[in-house]
Amino acid sequence: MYIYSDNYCFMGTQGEGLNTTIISVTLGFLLLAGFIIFFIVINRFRINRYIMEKKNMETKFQQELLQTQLEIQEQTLKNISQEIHDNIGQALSLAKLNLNTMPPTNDEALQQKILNSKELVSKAITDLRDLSRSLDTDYVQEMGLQRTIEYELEMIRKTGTIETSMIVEGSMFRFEKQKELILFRIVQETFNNILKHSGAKSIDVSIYYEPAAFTLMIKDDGKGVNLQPLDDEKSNFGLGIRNMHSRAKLIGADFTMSSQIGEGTEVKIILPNERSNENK
Amino acid sequence: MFPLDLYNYFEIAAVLICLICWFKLKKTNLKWIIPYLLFIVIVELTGRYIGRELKGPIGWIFNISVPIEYLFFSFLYYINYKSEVYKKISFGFIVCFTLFVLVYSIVKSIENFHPIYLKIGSITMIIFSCFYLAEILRIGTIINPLKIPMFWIACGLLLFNAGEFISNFLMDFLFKNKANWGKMFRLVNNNLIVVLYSCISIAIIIASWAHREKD
Repeated sequence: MYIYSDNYCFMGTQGEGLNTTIISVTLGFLLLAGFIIFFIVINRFRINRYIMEKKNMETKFQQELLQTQLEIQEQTLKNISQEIHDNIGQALSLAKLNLNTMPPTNDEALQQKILNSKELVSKAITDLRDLSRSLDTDYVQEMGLQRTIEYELEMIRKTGTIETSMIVEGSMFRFEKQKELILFRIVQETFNNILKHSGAKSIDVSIYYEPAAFTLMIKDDGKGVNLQPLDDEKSNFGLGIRNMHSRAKLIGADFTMSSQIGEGTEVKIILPNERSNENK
Repeated sequence: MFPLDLYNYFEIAAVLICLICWFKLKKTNLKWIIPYLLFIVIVELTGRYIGRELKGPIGWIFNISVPIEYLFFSFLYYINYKSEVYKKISFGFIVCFTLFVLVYSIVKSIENFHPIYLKIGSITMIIFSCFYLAEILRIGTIINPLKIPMFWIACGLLLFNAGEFISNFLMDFLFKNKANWGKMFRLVNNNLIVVLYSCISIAIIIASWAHREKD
């Protein structure tokens, strides 16, 4: 009892001190735990910001890279167009002149051959002129998107294998040259795909000029394509389609492609009309 | 006016929130928390009744429930860890601690409460919580930790076990030498239980909201 009382008294006098110490240490541990949690949350949000900035920089880099690639491509096409016009076109024109100024001959077979050669050279000159025009950036920018699409459709129709049609609704407005050029290249790529892969008999182009947006639709009646492999980013399938998508994204356009096997393909591009949006 | 202690109400509230969110919760990782919370409430109320009303020994109840608590939270960590190393550590702890508890209970009997379970469990929970929070920092995508249910459970466990740490380790000494320590211990423990079960309730609500957004 005495020992117990002594012990109790002993602890009684120092008990309060021990109590306070233990409570203080407990609070200290709690504060430390709270600080750890606070530190984790703050740093997590900091890491989130860093990841977002990194993503934005990567997107910006990809866009600038694409822009540079497009500029290089356009410059190359322009150079080729000039070469075709200056060198090859001129050489063919001289060849045609030579054929025209050849002295007449009594040999009918020879005469026929000269006539055939003149026709072939004339066709080559026409085709090269058409090709030069479609490659020439300045031509595209001067004539405008609608006229150049009409021109491309006319060249396709001339081949005699595909029927083409074009519908235009609304009052025409133009975009800045860079956007029109990129849109035209997308249209060219689409036409090339139709000619190379679809086996289509007809191409229908629809252009809608609406106050809020410009809509361009290209529909063919070809064999269609399975677009599912496009979902696999690692697949090489549809690199051309992905390029068209990237170019459209670069100018703020929405690019969609829909296709069913046996039912043809439709490409739709919607580009907001910035002037209308600015007026709002 | 209120027959139960404050922390009992927080435990019951957690169970009720669980039951309300049951349909959404059962499709998430937290579905296992429902039977656990029911078990805890039953144990706490039973222990309270036996201890206060029947004046009987309650050490054996907590010799069963305390290890189950630590094993359950270790299991939660095991299923939520992304790192294989952490998964192995938590799985290893579950196996070893289970064996230890079984052997210790047989050797030392189950009647008197064994504080060693609290000592091992609380330090393990602190370590596991720190592992989980470290994983949160290492995730390479944009995430909001405040919207992750397990984050709240980890915070609750870290705060609870950090607060109980010194008490658990000095429990034998304090109970032997200071008659009033039981009251102080209950004060600390009860308030920390309020923190823990508040965090668990928040985790359950967030889990059910997140699932609703997915739907």
